[in-house]
Amino acid sequence: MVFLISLVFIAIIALEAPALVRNKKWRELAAFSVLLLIGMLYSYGQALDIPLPNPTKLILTIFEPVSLIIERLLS
Amino acid sequence: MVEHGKISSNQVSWMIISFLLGSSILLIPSAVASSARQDAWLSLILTIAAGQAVIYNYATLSMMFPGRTFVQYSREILGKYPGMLAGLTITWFSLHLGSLVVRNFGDLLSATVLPHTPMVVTDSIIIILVIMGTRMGVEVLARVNKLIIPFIVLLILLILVLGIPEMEFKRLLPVMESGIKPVIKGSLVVIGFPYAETVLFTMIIPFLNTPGKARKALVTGGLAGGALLFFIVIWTLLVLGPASTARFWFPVLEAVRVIDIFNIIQRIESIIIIAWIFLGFLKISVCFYSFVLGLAQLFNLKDYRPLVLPAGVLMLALSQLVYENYVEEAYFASKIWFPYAMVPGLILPLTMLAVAVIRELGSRKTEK
Repeated sequence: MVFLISLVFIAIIALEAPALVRNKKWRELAAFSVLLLIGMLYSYGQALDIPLPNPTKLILTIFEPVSLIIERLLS
Repeated sequence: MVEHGKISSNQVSWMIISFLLGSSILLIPSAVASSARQDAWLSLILTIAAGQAVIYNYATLSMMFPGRTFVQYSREILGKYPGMLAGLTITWFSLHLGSLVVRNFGDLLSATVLPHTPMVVTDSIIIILVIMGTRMGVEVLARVNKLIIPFIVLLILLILVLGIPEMEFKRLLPVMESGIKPVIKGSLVVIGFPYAETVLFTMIIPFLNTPGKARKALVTGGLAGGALLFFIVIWTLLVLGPASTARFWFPVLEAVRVIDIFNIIQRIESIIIIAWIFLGFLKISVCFYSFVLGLAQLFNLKDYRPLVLPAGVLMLALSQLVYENYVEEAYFASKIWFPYAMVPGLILPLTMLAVAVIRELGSRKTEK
């Protein structure tokens, strides 16, 4: 699985990065790299079962109280 | 700016119809029926009314800044850093929503037709298509949508008609058995999902070739999509009954399974799954497009296209981990989504509209 993920990322870099470097699009390259890095983090993290920050948990913590208030208002 | 395509107001209306139907067609009947039971259809009527208000709100806001997306004009309204925060909220919302919808469809296929295929495989195929479509630009997305979705809608309506022999109107009784509160609770679910999510169209309507028609196109599409949702919910209630509708994961699917005309037309659920995949693809595409365009505009890039591949991987990876199991998914969609989606869907654009009006920004020819 890790092997496949690595293949995919190498392919992505090979497809996009040379064009960006050749045309000197540094901002795009920076954004591309940051996005790719986060993607790598989450992909490898999942493949290797490393616990990662889950946005669902964050949203649950913030909005569950709100949802409970709404429930109480409407029953 | 980074996008040179142009779309027509007709295309926008169809896009919002397929966006509204998107993943809601899968999950809405169950979510609403679990709150409102046999009055779920009443909830839908409330929702359509409220949903129009939501659409009207951000459409008015967008029309004050023709040719600019939410991310672009938020900087003007709120200032540099709060504007960036607002843009980031919408961009994050599109990423999150996209990964949730991908997850919904992965669940659908894994649970019904492709049980032995790992979900990441089916999701990857969907994501690859979405990446390809987004890379080609919003005009391509709008055209593909306009080409395919009318047939899909026709197909769905046909299937609804085929279900008429199985309908029993007494399944809708007693009406308002528990009063109005469960009806309101049910309608909140649908206001959050999908109506509040349509705020992502603020990233798309700047590319209209007739900017003055933006609000009308959105409101028309919102009504049409809402009407379709209404028919689907009431149909499911009539065919399955409220208890089953609330219980099944995909009640529309189960209801379609019931259809059996003279032993010839039966087991047609595969047709409706194909229809759903098209709708889901469009919804994911809109979310994905909104995400990469938002990112590109937040970072002042000249082109969003280089971001498309890594963003796709990110959305795919997120889709695998957002829910641990179906119970979490159902709970999140029916209870947590409404307050969460209201923030970017209503609260944020409403605040920005108020600030824009007070500060007298943007072009004020809102009536056309």
